[in-house]
Amino acid sequence: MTASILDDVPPLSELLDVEGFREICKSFGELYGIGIKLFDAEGGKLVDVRAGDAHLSSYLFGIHETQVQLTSLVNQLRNQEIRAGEPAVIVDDFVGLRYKIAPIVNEGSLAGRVIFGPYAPGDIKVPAELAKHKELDLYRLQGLLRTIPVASEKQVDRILAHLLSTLDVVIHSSYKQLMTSRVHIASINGAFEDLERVNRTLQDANGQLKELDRLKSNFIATVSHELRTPLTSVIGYSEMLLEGMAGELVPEQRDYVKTILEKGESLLVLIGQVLDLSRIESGNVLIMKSQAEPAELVKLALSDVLPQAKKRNIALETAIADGVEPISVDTDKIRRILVNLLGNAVKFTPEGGKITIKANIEESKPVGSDRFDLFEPERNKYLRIDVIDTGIGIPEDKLERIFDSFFQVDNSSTRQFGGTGLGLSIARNFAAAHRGSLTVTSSVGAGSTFTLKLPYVAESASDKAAPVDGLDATPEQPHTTSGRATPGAPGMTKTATR
Amino acid sequence: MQFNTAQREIVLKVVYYGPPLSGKTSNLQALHRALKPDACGRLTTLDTANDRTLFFDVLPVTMNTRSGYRLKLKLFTVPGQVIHAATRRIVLSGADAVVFVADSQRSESQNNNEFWRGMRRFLTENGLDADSIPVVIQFNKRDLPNARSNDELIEVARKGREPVYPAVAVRGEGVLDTLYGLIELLFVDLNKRYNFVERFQITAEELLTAVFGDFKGEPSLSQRADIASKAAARTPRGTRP
Repeated sequence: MTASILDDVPPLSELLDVEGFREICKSFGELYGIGIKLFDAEGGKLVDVRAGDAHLSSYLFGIHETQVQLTSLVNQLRNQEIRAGEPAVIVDDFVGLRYKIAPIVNEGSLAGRVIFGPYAPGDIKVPAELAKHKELDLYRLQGLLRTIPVASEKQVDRILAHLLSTLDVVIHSSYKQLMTSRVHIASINGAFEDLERVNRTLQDANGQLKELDRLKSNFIATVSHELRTPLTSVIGYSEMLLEGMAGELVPEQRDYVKTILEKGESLLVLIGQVLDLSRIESGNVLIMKSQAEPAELVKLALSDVLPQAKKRNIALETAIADGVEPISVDTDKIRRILVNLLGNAVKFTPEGGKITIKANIEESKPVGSDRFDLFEPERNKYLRIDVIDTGIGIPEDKLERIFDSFFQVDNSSTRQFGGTGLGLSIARNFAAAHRGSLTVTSSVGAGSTFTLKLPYVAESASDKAAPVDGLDATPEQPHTTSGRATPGAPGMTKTATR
Repeated sequence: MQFNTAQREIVLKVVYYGPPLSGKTSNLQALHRALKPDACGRLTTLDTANDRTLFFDVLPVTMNTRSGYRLKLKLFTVPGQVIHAATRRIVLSGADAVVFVADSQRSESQNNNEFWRGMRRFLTENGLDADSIPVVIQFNKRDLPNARSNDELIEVARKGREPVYPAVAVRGEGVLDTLYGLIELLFVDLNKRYNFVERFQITAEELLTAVFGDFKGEPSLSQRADIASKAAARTPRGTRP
């Protein structure tokens, strides 16, 4: 039950220019000779214009019995129950005069009351029961009653309607102005706070970016210079030795040098992967999209792993569903994801096993959202590629961790399978850079299924740096070198799309 | 919901939210023309420039209930223009229900999406639960040539949680149905949260009759589709429905 400044309706005394309105009521009273009283909803008197009843009132007030009756009448007029949206209430007093109490309504709510009167509803005679008041001079009272204007109900209703409509215009325009200024002030305050918040976020992000930029530059410089240069020499000299430039090698020496060359080359690949990872983490993955046939992507990736699969007698099957349409992706990145997935499948599938690669179109909730996109249904369309193997499988508690950099399911010193533990981490980040996802399900001993989902419509204006109606410019949080992308979250890797 | 004990008055706040020029003010204008005059108060527009809402519009719809309460439904619109985000957040505060006025034109899809997300975030920032507050979606401007098709809207209606109503607000079409559907939804929510019917002895039917008279709202798009599919299932094969 929270209330805002819009729900707080101010009292009449705040809305009305009371002095100005008293003048209006006075002119009404003089025009028709009838008194007007105005009270706010809390019973506070705002206006009291007396017309022709002043002598009568002071006469009645001077006599004890009628004074009591007069006081009780005033209380009745002030407290008589009235409701917004209902007609005026008639109150007849003890000398036969009449008052009308009309509700004042603002924004549909009771804001106060107008008491109109006294007036004589017709020719009136002093009520007989007043004769019991010994001090009361009935003859004089009759004379005073004659000074009170006579008005028919119809006339009174018209006068009252006129007064109320004047009051309504005055109240409404004041209310409108008050609300305008209130909202204006609140909006400016709100906008200022938003701007301050955005500014702070931008400043923080800017600081982080600068620090990241420095770290990244250092890191890349170190990797490329300190590791690559000597490694190139190692590889180069090994090749020279193998080519016999330093004289013929005996078979055993040749085997040793071949091993040096192989290990050197795989070290170079590892350095390449580390560089990829550093680019991902500093948000500099460059996605160069072009239209690609999913079947072609699969074929290309298969050709990379075909020799190893054949060598180990593993069957490769493809199942591309009918109607799978071309998709706009970075073909090199997608090929690398698929090669990685297929390479892993070959590596962890025992001889004589089977690897199936399936592609089809799937309707899916956009990555990172728990519901379908209602307004851009095109964003619910995904290309789904599954790589299914009959390999050793992955224990359930390791399923998510396999996407962590450098993680190996078997990290013992005697582990059977090689690899750096970077491939899946990079693959998942490449998928995220396409606003897609890479997930896995597995059963130990039965095999694993890796699922790559890529959106047909990756970009939406609402995904850009202004998520709330264009105001909030909260930038995407860049990765720190130690921080890692949340699996499956969109926008986790800052991408430069060309 | 606000409750004024002294005046026995209950105030419910309904906000028409949506992207710029989607027809929020047109909705209120059409309601002002169509609702029963004794229930409908004055339509107030706070500050306009070039026919665009700068702050908000408000239309009070009131009734005295049989159980002796004054029930007031305050219908607000938010300003659609991007620069008025802060005002949108202020207007949304304390809302009891929301009509999201989406623009049916295909070109406005992203705008709809941005404002939908903005609305949900502002609701949360105002301490309201964006997932449980009653919301209906109105797809306005159904008469424009580049509007999404009815089938697409039905698909949206099936996927989302919110009832979806088609409308052409400038002509008043679908406007009453939208509010009618929202009030029904609002009463379910009020009942759940405040045990409303038992506590105040006010039913949705009483309010709907006071406000709409004999008018009965059309069901939402997904309800209509369900009714149609059930009717089709009942029709024996080979006969025309």
